[in-house]
Formats: sequence, C-alpha cells, structure tokens
Amino acid sequence: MNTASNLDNLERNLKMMFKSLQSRLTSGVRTLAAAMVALAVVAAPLTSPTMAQAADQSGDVTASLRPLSPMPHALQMPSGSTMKKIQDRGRLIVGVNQDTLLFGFLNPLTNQLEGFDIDMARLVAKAIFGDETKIQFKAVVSATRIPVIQDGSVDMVISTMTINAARKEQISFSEVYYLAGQKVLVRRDSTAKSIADLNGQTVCVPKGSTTAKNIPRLNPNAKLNEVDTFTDCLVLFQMGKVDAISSDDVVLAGLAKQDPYAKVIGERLTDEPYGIGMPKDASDFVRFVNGVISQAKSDGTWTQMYGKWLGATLPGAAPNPPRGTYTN
Amino acid sequence: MGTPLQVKANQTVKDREMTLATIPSSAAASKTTARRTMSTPATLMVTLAGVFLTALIMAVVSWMSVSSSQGAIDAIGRQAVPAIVNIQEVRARLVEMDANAANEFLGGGQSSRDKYEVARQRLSALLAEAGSSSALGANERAEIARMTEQVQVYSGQIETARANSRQGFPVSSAYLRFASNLMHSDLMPAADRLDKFYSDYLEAQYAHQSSVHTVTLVAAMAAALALLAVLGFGQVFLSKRMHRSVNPALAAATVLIVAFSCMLGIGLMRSSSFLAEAKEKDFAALHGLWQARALAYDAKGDQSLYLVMRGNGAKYETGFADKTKLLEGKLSEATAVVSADISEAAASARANLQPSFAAFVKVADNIRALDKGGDRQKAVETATGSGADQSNGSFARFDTSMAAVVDGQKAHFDNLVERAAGSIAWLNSAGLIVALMAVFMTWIGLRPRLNEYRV
Repeated sequence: MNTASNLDNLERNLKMMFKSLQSRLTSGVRTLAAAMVALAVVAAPLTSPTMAQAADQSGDVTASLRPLSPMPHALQMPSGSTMKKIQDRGRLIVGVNQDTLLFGFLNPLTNQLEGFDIDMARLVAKAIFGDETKIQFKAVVSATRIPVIQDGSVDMVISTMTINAARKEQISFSEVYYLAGQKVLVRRDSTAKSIADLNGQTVCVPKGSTTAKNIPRLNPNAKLNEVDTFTDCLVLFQMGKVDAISSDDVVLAGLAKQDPYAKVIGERLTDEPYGIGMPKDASDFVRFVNGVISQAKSDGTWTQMYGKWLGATLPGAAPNPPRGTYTN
Repeated sequence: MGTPLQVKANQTVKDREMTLATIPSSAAASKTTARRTMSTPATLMVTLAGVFLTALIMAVVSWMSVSSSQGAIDAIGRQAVPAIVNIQEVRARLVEMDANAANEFLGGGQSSRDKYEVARQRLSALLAEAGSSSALGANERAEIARMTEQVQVYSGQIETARANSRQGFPVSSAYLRFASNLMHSDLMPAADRLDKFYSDYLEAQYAHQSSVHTVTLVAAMAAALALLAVLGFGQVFLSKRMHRSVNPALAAATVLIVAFSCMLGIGLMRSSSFLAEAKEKDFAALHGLWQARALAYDAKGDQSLYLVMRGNGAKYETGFADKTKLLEGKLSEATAVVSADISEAAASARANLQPSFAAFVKVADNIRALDKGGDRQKAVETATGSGADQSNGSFARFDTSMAAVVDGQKAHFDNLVERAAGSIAWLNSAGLIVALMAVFMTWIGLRPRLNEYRV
C-alpha cells in the first residue's frame, strides 16, 4: 500500500509539477510574445524604413506593403490617415511627367495632361473622392521625382519611375503597376541591332534616370549625353546632335510615334518595374494605393488602360498585368 | 589825273602830310619814322589785303566750324542714336517674338500668332536697316549677318514646335524651349554686343564733336576778331591820317562782322546745346524706355513659359520675378528723364505706364496663384485672355502706353536734332558771303581814299 500510495503521490506530484511548469512556460511564452508585440509596435516607425531592406533580403525589390483590406469607401477615409488628410484638403496632388507620350504628356490640343500614368493617378483620386477630377498635377522631370516626394510638395509621384533598392531607401513604392524594359532608339536607316553596336556614338538619356546608370555597364564605349527630359533627347536626335536615345521601351515607343524616321531596336536590356512613389512614412497610403492598383488589375481596368494607351503602339497582344508581390 | 577840284584836294592832302612831317614831336620821332616807312596808299592797300585775308580765314574757319557741327549732328543724331534705338528695338522684337510664341503655344491662338508674325517682319526690317549702317565695322556686319541667320533658325524651331503641337506631340514644348534658349543665349547677347558697339561709337563721336566744336568755335571767333582788328585799324588810320571821323563803309563792314560773329557763336552754341540735350536727355530716356520695353516682353514670355514648362518652370518663375523687379526700377528711371514737353498724348501715356505695369504684375501673380492652387485651366485662360483682368489684355494696355511714350520721346528727340541742324544750317555759306561783303565794303570804303593818291 505504502509503496502504491507513494507511487500515486509521486505521480500526482509529477503531474502538478508538469502543469505548473506548463503553466509557467505558457505564461512566459505569452509574456515574451506580448513583449515582442509591444516592441514591434514601439519600434514600428523605426523598423518600417528597413522593410525595403527586408524585401531586398527576400530577393524581391518590387515587394510592397499588402493592399488595404477592406478598402474604405470614397469620402470615408479612416480618421488620422494620410488619405483623410488628402480628403480634407479636397484634392490629390500628384507629380507626373508631362512630356512622355502615352504615359504622361500635356496634349497641346486640349492643354490637358493625358496618358497611362495620368489615368492611374485619376483612379487613386476617384478612390478617395469618388471623383477623378479632384486632382492637381505637378509636372516633374526625372531628376525631381524623389525630391518633390521628400519635401512634401506632392502626395505621390507617378512618372514611369523604376522601383529599385537605392530609391527605396529614400521613398516608398507601390506594387508594380507596369513592367517596362530598357531599349534603344536609333535612326531608321541605322544598321545597329543593339546597344552593343553603338561604339563611339552618342546616346542621349534623361538625367537621374536608371537608363543613365545602365548605359556605361551595357556599352562602356558609347558616349553619354544627359539632358533634362526625354523630349529634349528627341529634339537633339532630330537635330542630329545625338545618334541614339536609350530609355524604357514604352517611353521610346512614345518618342518613335513622334518621329517616323526613328525605330526602336534590340531586346529588352533590363527589366524596369514601374511603381508609384510615396513618402517614406505613409505606409497607410501605400497600402491604400496598392489596393487601388490591385483592384484595377483584377477588374479589367488595367487592361483597358493598356489598350487605350499602348495597345496600338506596342507589338503583340496585351500582356497580363504585372503580378504584385507583398510584404506584411 | 582827275578834275581840277580833285587835283587841288590831293595837293591839300599832300601839303598837310608834309606839314605834319616837318614838325614831328621829339618823343615820337623814332616811331613816326617807322610809320613813315609805309606810305598811306600802301597802308590802305595792306589794310584792304588784311581784310581780304582775315575775311577769307574767317569764312573758312566758320565753314569748318559749322560743317563739323553738322557732321556731329549727322553722326550722333542721325546715325549713332538711331542705330542704338534700332538695336534696342531689335532686342525688344526678339523677346516679343518669344513671348508671343510661348503664349500661342499656351493657347493664345491666332492673336498671339499674328503678333509674333508682325514682330518677326519688323525684326527682319530692323536687321536689314542695322546692316546698312555706315558706322559698322566688319565684325559688326558679320554679327548682324549671323543674327539674321539665327533668327531663321529660331523661326524654324518655332515652326517645328507648331507642327508637332498640331499633332499633339509633347516634343513641341521641347522645341519651344530650345528656341527660347537660343533667343536668350545667342540672339540677345549678340544684340547687346551691337548695342555696346554703337554706345561706344556714340560716346566717341560725342567726345570728338565736343573738342572739335570748341576748337573751331574759338578759331572762328579768333578769325572774326582778327578781321575786326584790321577793320578797326583801317578806321583809326583813316581817322588819324585823313581826319575822317568814321568811314561808313568800314563801319558797316565792322557791324556786319560783329553781327555775323555773334550769330555764328549763338548758332553754334544753340546747336551744341540742342544736340547735348538730345544726346544726354532724350537719348537716355529713349534707351531706357526701349530697355524697359524689352524687359517687359521678356517677363511676359517667362510668364507663359512658366505655364508651358510645367514642372520645369521654376527658372521662368524666378526669371519673371527678377525681371519685373528690375523693370520697376527701369521704368522709374526712364519715366523720370522723359522730356517734360512731349506731346499731350505721350505725357498721358507716361502717367499710365507704371499703373498699367502694376496691373499686369497683379494679373501675373494671380495666374501663379491659380496654377499653384491647382486650377491650371483658369490659370491658362487668364494667361491667354485679352480681358481687362487677363494677361494679354493688361499687357496690351501697358505696351500701348509704352509705345506712345516711346513715339513721343522719339519725336522730341528728332525735333531737337532738327533744331540743332536748323540753328546752323544757314551759317554754312553765310561765312563766305559775309566775308565777301566785308571785303567789298572795305574796298568801297577805301577806294575814295586810294583814289586821292592817284595822279
């Protein structure tokens, strides 16, 4: 009996000890988890700048914050949010390019800005106000795209801007809304087949663009001529002061459309994923804009926009919208 | 020979002279002996020759003096200053073209295009006129020829901008920017170089004219004084030797020379004074007004380009602010020196210059405020409209006033130049006529005395 009784007591004690240990462990884990959550909350503003790095570490520089879900209704933006501030102001301020035919350009006939980027910006305005005209465009050039975001002159910039790690150190990007690639434009009678054939020739690029950085790597023997805008390049090209223009294929398609004596050559030299630039600390706005973009991609709006602006110019059938990749 | 009465009179004169000769005063003996080395007729002939010689010198020097003044009037009033005004107008028409091209591009339509075309045609005429100036050297002629070519290049770029604009191509704005850059980096500096050349030429001509004027005026007065001295000698000689109180003909010649000298001096001084006023005041006002007008067109161009070059227009906004600030000062300076006695219409326009400019600046401020406030459509409408509270309308009122003041000041300048020329126009040949008359009168005056010695 005693032995059996002792064994029973031992078993009971062991169970109690196990439960106590289990309880303590659970409590500890809970406390640890709570502490981690608290640390995450406190450190959120500090850690958010490194999200890009996290994304970069994950291998996808184009990854952006997951879209807001559910999306707020127009004119019902969440209190305290970036969108609410924009709603209260009464207009969305957007930096756009005004001389990139097909994407963002001032139509001299209508004196209105038009293009794929302009329509994309209007989608965001419509999502906030229910009215796509509640928008103020501020024209930017390649070199001023990031500064206008950083100094708060605009709410966002949508201007054929490639998402890359260096820029993500300075601003936040939406998910990819268009996937372009660098190519080269030459005279129609040129025998060049690619940028490799442009040794010793002058290639015009916009200042501050990714193409300006790519050319020395793609062909160190090509001479660079950096100017303010794409259209400045086209003027120099038509004056015979440069031999070629290098930029994204969609930009070059717009330039070639303005000059029947020009042609775009070669395969895509690089991938240029376009994103909408926003302030670094506006993560709520980034999620909101991603919601607008993903909606446009899924409901056919994106495809319609492609058909409207690029379908007749770019060869082949309309591609599928670029897939968004996200971080939490 | 002569009549018996004349022979008797001659004998009386000779007797009197012999009496005078036989009773010389001891004190003046030596001097009298010296005077006696020349006979009376010889003295009279020398006097006549002296009058002839000094009259000739006076005629030549006065002609030189008047001619040099007329040359200065031509060089300054009819060449250098009009050439500078011409170049200033070239500057103004250049930027007027640029301003209207930008405004047309913005939506100013046919009205802006017509103004551009008028300015372009006027510019062509001005450059052709500038190239024909005799004051130009080879370098300046080459500069004008190059400017004429560059204006063609500019016009070509504007045409290309228009052609692209008609097709809705954004490259059109780039061509407009290139054309405007050509205007400001090449054509305007070339015009400034020509302005400096002519300004230097004007100052050199004016300095030369001033020194020549002084020298020739002094020489003419000296020649006239020499002539008067000879005439005075003759008068005194006749008075002492022949007890004649006044020889009327010599006296008349003296009065004629005194009158001519005074009129020559007054005429040259008046001419110089009118020319100095034209150069120092009227030209300064004209130059300032044209510079202000060019600056105003330039500012107007910046206003349009600010809207055209959206996102890249900061330099045009800054340019407009800098130019209008500079223009306010130029307007104050220019209107302060505008002649007080210009036409009534010009005076009224002058009073309207600064208020109308202030109204234009106010409209420009409103345009920028509209654009920055997000109402680009309204900003463009205001920038291209011709209403009282719109840019083209308010600028037209300022420019109309400016044109009236410039025209009034130019008319005043031309009037001064004509008065400068008119003050001495009749003096050019008058010197010779007066000299001949003086010689003739002297001959008339001395001939009876000389005849008294004829046997």
